[in-house]
Order: sequence, then structure tokens, then C-alpha cells
Amino acid sequence: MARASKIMSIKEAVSKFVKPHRAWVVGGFGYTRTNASIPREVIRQNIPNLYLQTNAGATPVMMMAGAGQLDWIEMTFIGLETIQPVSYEIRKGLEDGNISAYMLFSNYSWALRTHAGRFGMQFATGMTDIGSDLIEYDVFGKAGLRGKNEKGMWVHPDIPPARQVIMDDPFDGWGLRPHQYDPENKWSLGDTPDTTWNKTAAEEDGIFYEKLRKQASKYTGKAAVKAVLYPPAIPYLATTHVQRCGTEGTARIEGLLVPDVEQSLSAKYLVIAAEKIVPEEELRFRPSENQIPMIHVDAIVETPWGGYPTNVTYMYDYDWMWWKFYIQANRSADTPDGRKALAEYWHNIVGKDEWDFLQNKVGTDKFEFGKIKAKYECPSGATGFARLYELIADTKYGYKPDQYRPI
Amino acid sequence: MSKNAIIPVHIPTVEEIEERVRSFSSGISDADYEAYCKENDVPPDEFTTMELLAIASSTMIPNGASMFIGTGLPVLTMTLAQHTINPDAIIVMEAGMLDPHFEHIPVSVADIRGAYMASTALSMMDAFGTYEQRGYVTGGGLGGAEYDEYGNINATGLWEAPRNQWTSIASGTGKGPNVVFTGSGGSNPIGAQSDFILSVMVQEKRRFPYSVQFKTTLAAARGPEGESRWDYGIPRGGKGLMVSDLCIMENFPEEGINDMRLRSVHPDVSLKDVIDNVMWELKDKSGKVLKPTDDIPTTPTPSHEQLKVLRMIVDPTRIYLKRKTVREVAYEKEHGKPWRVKVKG
Repeated sequence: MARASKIMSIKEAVSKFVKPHRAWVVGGFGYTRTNASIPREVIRQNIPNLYLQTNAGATPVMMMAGAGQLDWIEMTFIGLETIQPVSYEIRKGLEDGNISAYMLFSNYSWALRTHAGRFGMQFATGMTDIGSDLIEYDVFGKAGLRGKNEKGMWVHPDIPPARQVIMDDPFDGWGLRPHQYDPENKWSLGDTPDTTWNKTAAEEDGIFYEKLRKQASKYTGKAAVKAVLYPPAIPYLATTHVQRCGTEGTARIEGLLVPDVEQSLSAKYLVIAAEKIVPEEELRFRPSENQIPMIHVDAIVETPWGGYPTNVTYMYDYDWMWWKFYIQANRSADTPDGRKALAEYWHNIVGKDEWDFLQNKVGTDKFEFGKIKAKYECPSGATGFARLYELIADTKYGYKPDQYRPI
Repeated sequence: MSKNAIIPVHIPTVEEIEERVRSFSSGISDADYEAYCKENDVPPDEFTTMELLAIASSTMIPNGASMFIGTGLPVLTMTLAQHTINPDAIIVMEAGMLDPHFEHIPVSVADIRGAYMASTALSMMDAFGTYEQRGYVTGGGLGGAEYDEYGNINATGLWEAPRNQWTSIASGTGKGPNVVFTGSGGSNPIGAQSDFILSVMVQEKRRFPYSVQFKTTLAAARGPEGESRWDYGIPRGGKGLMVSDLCIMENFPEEGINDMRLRSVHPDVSLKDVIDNVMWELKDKSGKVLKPTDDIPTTPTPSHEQLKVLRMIVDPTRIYLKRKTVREVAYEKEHGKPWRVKVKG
């Protein structure tokens, strides 16, 4: 039996898989290999009340917050490093309540959730968030989105019954690293510690973790080593941008993987947006270099320049001048009329489709609202494909080393 | 005062730093340096606050330490340390980079520029798991919006509601927090799993409260005995360094001193300014509550050789070095000239 083709248009993939209030985890991180093409199509289709998850991938969240389509977000970081401390339209959306739920994680606690999700684990543990207020802050719990309903089914299929569980380590800290050692153990006299560089956990009065066992009594009321259990992330949809995807769905990421492998493989449905769809054989000659097995992929979309304005390593660099423009424009998110103007910008700039965007919209950004005036300006004045070609990466570096990056 | 059972991380003292810096030579000629300064319109023998912070921070990194860093000042700090007195120091970045050697300054912890010549550039699980949770990170460099007496960072938000009654947007009020900050990102796990945290912040009274409104990150000991990070089950860390635009603070958990004490005051800054910009009672290492007239060491002044490297090798296009603190902007407005301090000697 021939395998059914998963290749489809971006329009079809978005209308089929992106659902209001179902968890959608978007790939990429900040300025790197962000899955931007699918958010652009979601803006074109104006799908409302989105529930977005990301591990520091602020760019797509920022796009859809600007377009006014977000309702719930589950995020670790909403900053635009170096250029704007906090992505302004997300910030205003949260402060004004236009984004109605905000679940907080750290990059590691979210990574642990996707790690558990990827491997089908019931939970994963890691020493993060413990002792901080992140542990206490549970918006979804307050909103009544956790637990089971009267039918005994999950209130929300993508939201676990608890943010985390903290318990006494049933293995009494045996798994903590550096690993406890005894130089007098009969199996290898003169045993030495792990080669780890961390000093403060390395030795306590000659015996690892004894002080901790006696002192750590918060959360459970008993002095014992603690373990934090994070439930898996099981998003309804993951969308991930890659350099190459085979015709059956085998996908290869080059450069930084960021959270994308775990996130992609934890989802119920996975849509791969690829710079280029290639024959499967091209990737199968070196299967060890592929990260996404074709069995997990539900749809493949070819989106050349689909990561723009972010970097797609070894292919093209980020377009720094676009953020220079946008951090001026997004200041309009301060008022309802300004937000409307910003949403109009987004619905206009994405064009009719990806080709219209790439050819006719890239580099033409202009925004005016009250005193706010912003215009995209790159040194050459190029727009469309002429501008995109200027961003082509140097093969030695994977980026454009001489890109003009004013701050 | 009970001692916390931890092995101290040795942060070089002011005297040790002065000794190490004295013997460092960049190999960059004075003529080349002067030409660079002329071209970029910076005085060769004066430094800005940003330059002071980068240089002061770089000298406090323990020898050969691995440092989990964010963008901006921590990038300058570590690159400078590697190129000056700490060539064996190792950089870790949260997108998964281990031991990169930057040729072009990364603007994000996931900028591919930050992976140049790295040993590995894997995933975020690797950065926080394979490297950090396994114990291969000595310290972290972090920023934030609020910082308190026990070295806690708030990078999440400000609320009107009391603690544990945060309006969580879905609260029925229709409103979220009064002010939203970036959120943790990698800050929390870096604070939890590193031996020490070097925090860098602009020092204003409102940003240095007795206790932060939201504990995003435990960047030092968390609290006094009974409320410390070890009471909450964190098996390591607790040492904190705070480098503000006015001073440097430090705690000594291995000696049972969990709260942040004043280590040095920056050149041309008064102790009164430092005291006036902290809500808690600032003490020196001995526990004495400080008065403006007390004697406190001065943060070592940058040397010409350090400035040469910082300017010409680390950030030659002045992506970050061009930045001015709020105080510098106010000074310039008032005096009609930029804030600068002369290099000594």
C-alpha cells in the first residue's frame, strides 16, 4: 500500500490543525529558526482565541499578540533580548487582560515537560523552579481548567491536573549528581568524586547530601531530599520550521536545535514547515543526522524563507532592521485604538499568501498611529526578494557576519 | 551564626584582582588603541559605567570557571575574561552551546553567533540537563527587575495584590499584573543549579526592596536559616554577587552569612548614594550597619590593557558598550557632557 502524501498547502495545514483554545506549541527561539510562516497564515485566516505554548519563542507570540488573536499563553520568556526588554504587545495584552491566561514556566521546567512528552513519560523530574514563586503561581488552576469534569474526563485535554508535584525523593537522593561516593567502599577502595566542576554540591562534610537530607523540610513537612515532578507537555499541535524535510516527513534541523526536537515529538499533531521538501533518500543516506522521524509528522508544508525575519542557520540570517522597525510600531499597543491599528498592520503586512508576502511586503513595513511613526529602513533600501538575498548566510558561520545591527 | 555545609567558591578578592590585572598585557599597541579610540570617538583614558561593569565583573569570575550566561553585559564579561586574565573560563548558553568562542557578538542566547567554535550546540534540555543539572556549571550571569537582601530576583511582574493572591488574569478582575516583566526564561534553573550567581542590575531604591514581590530566581541564599534555598531542597549554590551601577555586594553562605553585604563602591560613587538606593539596612562583611562616612574599598579601576581588549576585541562596533545607564543619561542632561571616569595610573 502506498503511503499517503502528507504534503499540503500552508492554507490547508492551518485550517486543518490550528484550533482555538487547543494548545499549539510553536517552534524556534527568539531570533532563531522561528516557525513564522504558519503564524502569518493564521493571521491571514484570522483564527481567534489561540492557546499558545513556547519555550522562549517570543517572535510568533508577538506576531499573533499584535494581530489580536491570543487568549491563553503558556510561556517561559516574553523578552526580545537586546532590543526590547519585554515584547510590548504581549506585555500590554497581559496587563490589560486582553490575553486572559498566562501560565509561567522556566526554560528548564518547560523543557522537562516536553522531554517527558516526547518519550511518553508520565512525568520528568529536575531541580528547577523549586523554592521560587513559579511553583505557587497557577493561573490554569484558578481558572478551573485543571482536573476532571463530571464525566470523569479531563476538563481540558491539553492541561494536566497539576502544574507540578513536589515529593520526598523515593530514592533518597541516590540520583543527584555529582553522585555520592565512598572512598572506603569495598568494591573500589579509593573511589573519587564525579568529574563535575560544580563545587557547592560536591562535598558536604565529606558525605554528599547529608546536610540536605536533614534540612530540606519544606513542601512535605519531612526532612528529606526533594523531587519535583513535572507532567508531560502534550500539545494538540506542534509546528516546527526546518531546513529540509523529506517527502515522507523525515526532517533535519541544522544549527541550534533549541527546544524543537522535544516539542515537536511531544505533540498530538506535528506540522513541519520546511525551507525545502527533498526526496526522502537525500536525508536517509545519513539518518543519524535527522532528528524528526517521519512517523510523527502529520503534515509537510514547503515554506521557503518561512523563518523570516528570524535566522535559519546556514541559509539566511535574521533581519535585524525589521525588529528595529517593529519595536517602534508595537508601542501603539498601549491603547485600544492603537491595538486596532497594530492588528491592521499585521493583517496587511502578511499579504495574500507567502509569495505575496515575500515578494511584495518584505521591507515595505510602515506604521503610523498618533505620534507613533515607524518605517522599515535597511541600508540598501531593498525590498522583497532583493532584501531577502542580502540576508543569505555565509557558509562558514551560518549567519551573515557583516550584517548591520544598530541598537 | 551557623555555617551552611557548602564548599566555598573562591571569588577573587579586591587585592587578588588588582594583582592579576597588574600583570596582564594585551599586546595591543598604544598607537593602535589611540587610533581606534579616535575613530570611535571614545577617550582612551576614561571609561563609562558599562565598561566598568563589564571589566569589574570579568575579574570576579573564578579561575577556569564555567559560566552560564545571558546576553548583553554577561557576554562582554565572559568574552573579556577569556581574553584577559581568565583564558580557561568556559561559556555555556541556554540554547545548548558549550564552550563557544565568539567572533561576532550574539544578541540572543539562541543567536547562532553564540555557537561559533563551540564544543557542542545541542538543545535546551542539554544546556539545563546534560551540562547544568549534571554539575558542569560553576556560575551564572543574570539580570532582573528587582533584587532583595537575600539575593532573590524578580523577573516576572509587579502586583497590587498581596503575596499568594496574585491576580492571575483569569481572576475575574479582567486585569493582569500591574507590570509584566520578561519571565524566568533560563534565569530560575541557572540560579538553582550554579555554585554562584553574578547578578547585574541598575540600582534604584524601588528595585532593591527588602523582599522582591515575586521570587522568580534564587540568585543567592533565598533567605535566613529556615527560609534558605537548602530548606526548600536545592542541593547546591547560594553564593551571590551583585554588581550594580553603584557598587558590588556579596554574601558568604559558607560562613553562615546569607544576606548580601557591601563589598566595594565604584570609583566616583559615594557610599551615601549606595545606602540611599537600597531599602534594607546595608551592612559590611562584619555585620556593621553602614553609615555614609564609613570606609569601604573602591571597586578596582579598569586598566588601559583591559579597556583595549574590551573595546577592540570584545565589542569593537560598540553594540553593547554604547549603552548608557539612567544615571549617565541624567548626568549628561544636567552637565552637558557624558559621565566618564579617569583610568588610574
